[in-house]
Amino acid sequence: MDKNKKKQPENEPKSNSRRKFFVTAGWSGFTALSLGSAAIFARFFFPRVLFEPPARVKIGKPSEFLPGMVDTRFKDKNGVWIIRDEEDSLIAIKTVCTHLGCTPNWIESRNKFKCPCHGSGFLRSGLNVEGPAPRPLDRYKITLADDGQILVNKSIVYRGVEGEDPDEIYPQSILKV
Amino acid sequence: MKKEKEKSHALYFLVAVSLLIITSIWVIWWETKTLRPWKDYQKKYHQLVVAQLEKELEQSNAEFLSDSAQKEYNDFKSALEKAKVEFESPAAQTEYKKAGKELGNVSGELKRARHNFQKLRSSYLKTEYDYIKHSNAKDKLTLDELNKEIAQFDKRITQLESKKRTYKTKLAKMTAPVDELTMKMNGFTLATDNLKKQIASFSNQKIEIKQIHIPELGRTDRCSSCHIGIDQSREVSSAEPFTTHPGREIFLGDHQVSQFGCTSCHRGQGRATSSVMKGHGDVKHWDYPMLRGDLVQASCVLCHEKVKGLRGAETVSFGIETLERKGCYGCHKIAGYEDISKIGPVLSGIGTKVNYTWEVNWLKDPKSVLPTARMPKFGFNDEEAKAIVDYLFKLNVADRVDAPAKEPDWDLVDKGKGIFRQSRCSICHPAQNKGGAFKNIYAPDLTKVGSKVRIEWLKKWLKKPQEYFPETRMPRFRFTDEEISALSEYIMSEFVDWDIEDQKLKEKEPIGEQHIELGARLIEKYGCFGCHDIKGMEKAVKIGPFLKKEDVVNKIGAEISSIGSKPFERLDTGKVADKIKDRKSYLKTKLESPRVFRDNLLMPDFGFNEKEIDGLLTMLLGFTAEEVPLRYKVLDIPSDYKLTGDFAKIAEDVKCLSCHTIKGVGGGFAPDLTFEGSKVKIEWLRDFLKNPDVIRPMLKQMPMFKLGGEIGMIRGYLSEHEVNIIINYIRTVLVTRDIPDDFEMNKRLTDVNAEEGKALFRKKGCLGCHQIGKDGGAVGPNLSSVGSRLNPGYLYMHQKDPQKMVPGAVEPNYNMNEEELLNITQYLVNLQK
Amino acid sequence: MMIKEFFDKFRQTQVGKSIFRRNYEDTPKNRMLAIRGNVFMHLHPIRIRHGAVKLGFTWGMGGITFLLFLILTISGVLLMFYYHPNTRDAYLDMKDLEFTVPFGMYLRNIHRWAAHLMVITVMLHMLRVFMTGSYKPPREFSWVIGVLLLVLTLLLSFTGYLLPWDQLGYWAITVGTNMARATPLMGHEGPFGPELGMTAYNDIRFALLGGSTVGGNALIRGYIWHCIALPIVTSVLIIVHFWRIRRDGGISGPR
Repeated sequence: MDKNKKKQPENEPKSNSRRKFFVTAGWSGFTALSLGSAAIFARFFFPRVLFEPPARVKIGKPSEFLPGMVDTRFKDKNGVWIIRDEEDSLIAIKTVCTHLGCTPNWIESRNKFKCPCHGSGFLRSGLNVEGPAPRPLDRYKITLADDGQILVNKSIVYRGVEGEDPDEIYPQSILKV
Repeated sequence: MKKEKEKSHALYFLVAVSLLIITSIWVIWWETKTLRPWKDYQKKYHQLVVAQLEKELEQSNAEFLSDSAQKEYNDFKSALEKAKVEFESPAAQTEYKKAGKELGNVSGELKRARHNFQKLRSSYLKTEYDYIKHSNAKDKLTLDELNKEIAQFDKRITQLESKKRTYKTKLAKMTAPVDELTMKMNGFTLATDNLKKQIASFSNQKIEIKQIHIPELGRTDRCSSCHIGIDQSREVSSAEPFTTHPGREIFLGDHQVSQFGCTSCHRGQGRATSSVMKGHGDVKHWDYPMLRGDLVQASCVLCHEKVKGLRGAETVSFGIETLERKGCYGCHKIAGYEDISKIGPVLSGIGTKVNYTWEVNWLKDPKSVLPTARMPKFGFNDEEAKAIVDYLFKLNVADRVDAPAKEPDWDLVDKGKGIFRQSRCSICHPAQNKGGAFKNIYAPDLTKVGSKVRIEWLKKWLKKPQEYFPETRMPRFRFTDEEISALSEYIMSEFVDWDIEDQKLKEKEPIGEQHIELGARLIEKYGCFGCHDIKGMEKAVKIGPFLKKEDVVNKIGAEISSIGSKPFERLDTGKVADKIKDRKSYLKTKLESPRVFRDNLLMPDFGFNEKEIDGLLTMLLGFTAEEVPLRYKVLDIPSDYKLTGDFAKIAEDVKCLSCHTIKGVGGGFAPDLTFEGSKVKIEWLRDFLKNPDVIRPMLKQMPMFKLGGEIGMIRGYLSEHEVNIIINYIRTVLVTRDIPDDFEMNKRLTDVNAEEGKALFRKKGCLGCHQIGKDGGAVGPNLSSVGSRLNPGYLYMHQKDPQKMVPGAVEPNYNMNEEELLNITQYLVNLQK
Repeated sequence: MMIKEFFDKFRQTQVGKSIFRRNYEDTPKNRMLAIRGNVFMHLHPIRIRHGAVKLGFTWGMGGITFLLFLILTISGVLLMFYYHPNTRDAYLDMKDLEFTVPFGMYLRNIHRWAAHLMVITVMLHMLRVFMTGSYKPPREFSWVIGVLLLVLTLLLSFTGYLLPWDQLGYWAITVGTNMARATPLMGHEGPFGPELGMTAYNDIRFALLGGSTVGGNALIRGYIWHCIALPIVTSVLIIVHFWRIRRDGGISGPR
């Protein structure tokens, strides 16, 4: 800009074109700024931390879960049943009925999950056997952490498929200990 | 001048916009970089982990590439290829495909069957509901029909399922050779593959704020955003903030991070992530700066009601021990110490007990009289000290009096010396830098007691200590009058301080009225009655600054129950305000020199050593107003055991519980008697009570109370009748069901081998601590005649689980099997007198 | 140029016509109609005198104040997304705005500095109006509205002070509302207050705090006044202020 000033004598058209340049540059800057601000405000809406229960929960050592038992301790807090079969495989079932999303109960005497809303029933593998529920219960990913505790990862869900035994189609949902 | 219309503001506009852009760029930099130091830490940590993993990968690769591994691997490889060729042969393939197709068919059928089955069940439930509601006969028919159908379907599904399984096994069998070999080959690369996976996952770890949110404790801790490896088992660097937590077993093992967070123990500003200083809480107006080093033990007391003996809490538990030893609760109100009895001796009869000169010296500076003195230095000058003593003496003797020294009767002294030794006075009482092994109770140092007390008082005291001081823990030894005069003659002649003797008044001096008044004022001001009972001042208030209104009534000192959370701004730093910058340094200064802050402060100088200051400081920082949910508390429920019946009278008299412990009550110095009835043989007990013999090292040994001509435990006056009462009590009350009386018969001890037990006893190195005959160490009890002392059942149980019978026993648990246990028990049973 | 052509074309479509009433023909009449037909600009005078844009005379303080008000509104609304007006969370939310919320500290700082600035610019604006005698007829009513706006600005500052729920805000509000005790007739320590039966539980301070001390009720009251009630009243008065200026012959300027 300084060079321009020196080369050209000050006259009306030059001054006009310079003004035009300033205005254009100014407004483009302003546009960029607005876009930047929009981006800033958009970022603002995605918090860095959450105060929800974490998606990955450690729930204790496998030895704390008795063979053949459905463990309902984590139902209220973490929304998961831990089931250990007579041998040594564990699964984690999501406590949401596949019909309309109620929370079923584990009925020990009938060896079944029963949904109190519309009477859907599920076996301990999560397979739906009665009532309106269209598909087996979902499962969560379950692994062993470094310190030997069971880690339930609720961000990975194995969705039940109608008419299929979850044990068969999701062998990766079973943890062998 | 141009007209407004012709003026151009375009340049200003551009400059303003440019400035705004620059500012915005700076803001973005500040927001994403300056305020987020954890980003770099996490990146660095991931790099460190990956570097370590890569090293491990190299190693594991080298192992895999070694000749022997390669050879084996290649063998498997060729075998696999062969198996594959076999499997891929047309004949096998058609069979395989056929089976696969059939499996598919069965699966489809099963799926449909399950679907229909479920529909059937639904209509069954619906009909059942109708039937129950309307009792329609038609519905009943339908129900029966449906029931039949369901049963059929059920059967069909079971059939299909078993069919499916057969096909599956068939298929598996076909692929078995290939599968097996593939698995074996994978085994070779398993470690490497795992490492590769880990490297990949660590290379793209998300950089984010790590947060532990525990609503129950009101904690939101983001410490692990920087201290990213703190709860990992893999240590990649010993530098902060990448290290792992030291002492993981206790600190993280017993305190799950997800349950406790970080700041519950360490304090600091858990939410802060924008700078190290903010995170550690080293900023103005943050009341809980991070506790560094051993100070972190301050937090133990938040949940643990009892920290004594707690692993990892040594400093704070020493602090609490110091508090109890020095009797801080005499002046300060401290939660949990409200109803404890006064720590100092009763002063109401002091005039009859001690010499005037000694008492004045003592008040001026207790430590100069006895270096082991427990009483702090109040810094009284001569006049003040005299005034206080005047007041106290006025209560009973009315004059300033000293007992003059006199020539001892040396025969009596010799006799007294013997009694002093036999009575094991020095187990509790230190004198001339010896003795005093039993630290749990305070027994006065006897070094200068000859110049301190009057012989008339000493004689009365030895006769019946409870008469002068009802709460004393000294047993009544039941000395005869002759023994008492011998013993007191010895004490008076042996423990004399000649400096004090020289200062003693030659004759009585009257006490001036104004002295008494001054003394009373001083006692009131400094709150002597916080630690001592003084006639006429039993109900007077205690000393110290008050923190809460209601405390004014009963304590002279500040309540220190929540001093650890008192805002620094509210602590009076007075004259040294420029040197003291935080709560910690305030408390430290207060402990080191209590009166440095202002003139006329009352707290005396305790002359704490460095260790005591560290302990007290840690403890005080832990005294906060914070409350944790009951679920987190480790309660210390005090034992409600009380002595009962005739036994109580004897036990009170000889103060059994000063040394022994029964059901959690007592001194904890001598053996726990809780299960004594199951533990020892009654015959032995009878003999022992009459004449205690040597079981333990000298300084831990029960006093030989037998002093007179007649045999008896306590000074020869523990009569047959009393022994019977004690034995009865022990046999009926102090027993446990864990040890059956008829143990010998149950366990068939006859066919076990005592010789093997002996070998085992030597093998396990028991002699390192126990003595048998002339061999062995002196840590544990002497076992020479243990067989005649202890019940076999106890011996057996004690070795099975030493800590079960004696909590906190040092004896290791060797986890012996049944046979070993019985053998070694038999060996010990055979060790008879 | 492309943009302009595209824009011109767009204005010919039905959608374009429905949004923009006037064709862009730069005649004085069209300019006037454009201003009048635009909801955002119709409060603005159609024509202004040369002198009215002279910075040396107006200092631009009224406009700057209005701009700050807009900035405060926007940043304030954004801050509300991360703020829970209860005694347990309020202070912690401040901390989290600093430590975790993206651009949280930036917004808080903007809001704070804009608030400080607004008080200053309002004062300067009034000073200018006073010095130039712009409060004289026919603009007396605008002056009155302006004084009300000053009070509202101060009230907004005051109520906003409590929201971080820190010691500073807590004691400022404690002290500030203690003054209300001394209100004549309506305060329990004011003249004739006790005679009229005023106590700490029924006087004007009680109504302000929703209690006898600064607590959870005071916080939610501060929040509602600060974020809803006062901004609405202020906006209405700003509209009236602008409208009256226009009706009373535009911004005053050198004669």
